[in-house]
Amino acid sequence: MNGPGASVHTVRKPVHTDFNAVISVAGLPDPVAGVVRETIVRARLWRAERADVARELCAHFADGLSAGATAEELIADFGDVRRASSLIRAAKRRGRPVWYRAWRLALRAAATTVALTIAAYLFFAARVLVSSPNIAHNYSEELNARTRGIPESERAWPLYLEVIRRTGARPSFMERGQAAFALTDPYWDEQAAWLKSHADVLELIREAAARPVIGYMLANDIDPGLDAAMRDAGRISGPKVSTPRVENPFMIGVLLPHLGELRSHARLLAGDCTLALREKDGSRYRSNIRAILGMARQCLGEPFIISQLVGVAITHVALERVLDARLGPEVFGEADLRDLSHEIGGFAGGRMRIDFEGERYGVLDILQRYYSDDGAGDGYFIGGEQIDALYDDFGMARPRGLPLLRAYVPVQSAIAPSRRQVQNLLDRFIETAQRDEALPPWKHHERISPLWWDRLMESGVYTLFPPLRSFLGSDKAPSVAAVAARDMVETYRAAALVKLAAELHLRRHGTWPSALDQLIPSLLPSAPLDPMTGEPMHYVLSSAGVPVLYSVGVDGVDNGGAATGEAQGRQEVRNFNWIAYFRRERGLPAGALDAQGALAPLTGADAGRFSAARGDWILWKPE
Amino acid sequence: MRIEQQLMRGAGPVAILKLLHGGEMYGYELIKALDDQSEGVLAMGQSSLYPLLYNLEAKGLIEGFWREADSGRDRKYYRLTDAGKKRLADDIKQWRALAVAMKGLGVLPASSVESLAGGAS
Repeated sequence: MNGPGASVHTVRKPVHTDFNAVISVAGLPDPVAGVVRETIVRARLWRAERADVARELCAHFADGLSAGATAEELIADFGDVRRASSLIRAAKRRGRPVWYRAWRLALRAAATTVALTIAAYLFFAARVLVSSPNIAHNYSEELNARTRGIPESERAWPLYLEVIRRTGARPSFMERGQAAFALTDPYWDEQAAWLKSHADVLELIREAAARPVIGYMLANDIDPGLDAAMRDAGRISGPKVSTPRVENPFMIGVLLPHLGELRSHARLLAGDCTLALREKDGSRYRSNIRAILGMARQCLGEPFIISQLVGVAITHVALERVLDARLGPEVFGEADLRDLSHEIGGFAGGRMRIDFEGERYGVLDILQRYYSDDGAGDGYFIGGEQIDALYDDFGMARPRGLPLLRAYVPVQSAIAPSRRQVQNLLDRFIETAQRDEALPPWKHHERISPLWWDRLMESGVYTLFPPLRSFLGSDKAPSVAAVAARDMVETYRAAALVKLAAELHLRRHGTWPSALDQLIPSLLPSAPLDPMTGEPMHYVLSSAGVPVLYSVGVDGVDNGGAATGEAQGRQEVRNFNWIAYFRRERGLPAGALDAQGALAPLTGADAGRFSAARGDWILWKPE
Repeated sequence: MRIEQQLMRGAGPVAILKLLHGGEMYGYELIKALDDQSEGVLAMGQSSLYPLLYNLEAKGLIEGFWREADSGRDRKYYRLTDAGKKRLADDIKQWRALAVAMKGLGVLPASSVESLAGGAS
């Protein structure tokens, strides 16, 4: 049996496939032939269909004429040509193959989708066009107002600018990145000569470091005072190349050039520590340590994570000097060591804090610029208008593709989380990050802020504000990165305090203490805790009677103070940052941890890469 | 009497299927038969008939084929398929049920329904 629509040709005559030929061959009167032709043309059929329908209609009219009807009667009986064409087209389409109908359906669905998409785009574009941000806060100004409330005599920045002026050109060894200031350094003589000839500059740094705050005013351009000081020092010349100052700049666009200056100053004072030791000037050594810690305190007092990270790094500089130095009686009396111990122990209230106030302001600033404001804390993404301003604030040329970027804004507006959603996620992240910050390092695995950070990123907010990620300071949860750095340096602090207490014990008793208990409480308030376990830090005397202070390290195994593999003592603690991820299994290869959380034997490249995770971390061991 | 378009939309296909149940027919023949056998009530113009035939063909209820008539002209004839026969039987049952219902409502005279009930399929 034939399928639907199939015609059974039992005739053997040649069949025309051109409908015009079919009509011509039929020999119908012109008016009738015209009706057939018009019907076929209007029906817009496939070629074979046209010929077939034409043959049938021609046969129909021929039958009518043969039956004695006139052409006019037949045309009248035929009815409306337009309606006939339309119905024939619809009927023939129904009889077409499945693939054709599927294609038609897909085409119709695609057209509908496109139409709906365009309508939605126009709706969101209109919504974006009629909305404008409500930039109600000038967050950088709010922070600057705090600084203005502090008397000028308590602000260090003017003195640091004077340091730049007096320093003149940066010493060449610093330009070359050769500023380790170690006696074994081949450039030591050059460094020592420079330090000696700039004693007044170093004194000025110490004076500045004693002031309570830095007092740097936030702005999107280079601080005019810094620009002038750099010119006076001969470090820069030519016309000022800077971004025009914006009254209410993007928080993410404010510059913090003072941080780099403070790091340089800290390195110079660290160098002067080495020189002071060589000159047996314990007082200057202590002054330098106090000043380095003062600069760290100033940075930690700023509300940005990046400032606090610099504060942590500067603290690290001071503690390294203490841990590496030989604090012999020829330079330091007992009182000196006690004072140094108090200085270090009391620094930053005993524990450096990382807070997220500045980050919160930064994100609130982004929201007020990129979102509409319904007055009740909600709104939708309208970023377009602000994109230009962002480039202007950063002093960047607007990219050629900017119109395309702007055209994409309605799409972003449609898919972006609402202002309230972003705000809620941020609140949860900052709230949990602040809580996590208080956790000791051996409880890293209890942190939940990274999960909120991931949620925030998954919400799509990162695609709207790419600078957000860098603004918050890290590719991964900044709470983890910043706090891990802090914990690392706090471990150094604990080690430095043990070293000072042990030195005092040596002076009084002629021997190193055999256990930490002997130092407590007269020389050390309490036993420092191992950052990996929360248990008391390990202290042993070697067979030669030399003390070793150590942590059991990532693997949690007490190797008796032996650093195995490539571990090189305290050097390995510098890897605290990634070690901190260990409990969350970040960065470690699959199967690296056994059921107890200890490190399983590693092979191949992993063995080298993660060697720091093996063995003990030696925090202090006298030379 | 002309039938409303909506009614004709339901009645037309059944009428065509019924006519073809009696044997193969071509378009002009179907028009004449509809006109004659329904006393003009179901008469339809060609502009309606051919789309109706193509629809039934698309549904697989009828099939068309070309054959040379005695006059020597080619004509496209139509005949019922098996599916068409089944559909016709179903439609007839429905129309009869409808007629009985109409009789109950007094829309149709009792005599016409009785003759329907006893008529051949």
